[in-house]
Amino acid sequence: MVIESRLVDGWLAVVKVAGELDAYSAPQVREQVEQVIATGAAWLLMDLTEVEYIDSVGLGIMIGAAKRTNDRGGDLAIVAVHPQVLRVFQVSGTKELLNVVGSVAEAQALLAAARARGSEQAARGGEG
Amino acid sequence: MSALQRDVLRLELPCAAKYLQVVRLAVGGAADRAGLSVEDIHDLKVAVTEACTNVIDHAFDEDAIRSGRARMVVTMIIGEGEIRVEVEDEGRGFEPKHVLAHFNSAPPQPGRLGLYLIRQMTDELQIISAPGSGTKISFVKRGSR
Repeated sequence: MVIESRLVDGWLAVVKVAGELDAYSAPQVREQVEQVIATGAAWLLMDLTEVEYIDSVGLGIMIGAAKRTNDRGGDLAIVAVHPQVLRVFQVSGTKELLNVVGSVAEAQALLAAARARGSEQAARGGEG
Repeated sequence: MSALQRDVLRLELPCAAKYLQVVRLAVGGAADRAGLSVEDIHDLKVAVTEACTNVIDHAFDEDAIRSGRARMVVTMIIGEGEIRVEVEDEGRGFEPKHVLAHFNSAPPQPGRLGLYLIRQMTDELQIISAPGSGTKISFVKRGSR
């Protein structure tokens, strides 16, 4: 299991995971995600492009991360391309809920748009 | 399953997450021998991993796991275009109706996703268990795609 994390443009936390995400590797991934969220990150991109296997344990980590970012007014997006991984998101009914898309660029654009909408709403709230 | 010749493979292993990948490799190979597609084998790997993860998480106490007494057995029965997988343990067991009442719910709740995925990704699912008597979960995967 290989995990890397970085901050993009000062607001977007990106966690990239490679390998098989099951109950054996999950603690590593969970710890890394927790560390990133503990820094105050509200916008999180989980890059699972190189993940070849996921199950309910991995889904649980993603659902937990989505809740944490939502609580901070942010959101989570997931990049997944492997058919097995996409199938698990689809069957579990979490594909839309977790913003699963096919490329990093798409995920970045999705989160940037959501962040811009949040800023606009905050500005309008400030005017009122 | 059909009454044609069936090869039976049996894998006994410690209750440890580090062996989940080994189970997937074994079941994937057996399913390939049964003639299942890559997509069906993906589904089967998820189902057997979920079943074994449940054993690891729930069947035994910490002492049994630490001492190595906690074990599970994965049996693969290879048919023509289908495979039956059984995951057995001699752990604490449970009352199946308490579980069955929940895992058919949609959308699945976190913590119940594992059984939901097994149900969605296999063709037959049977759970035999009772408090104090261990558990056997079995499912069939038929070639479909």
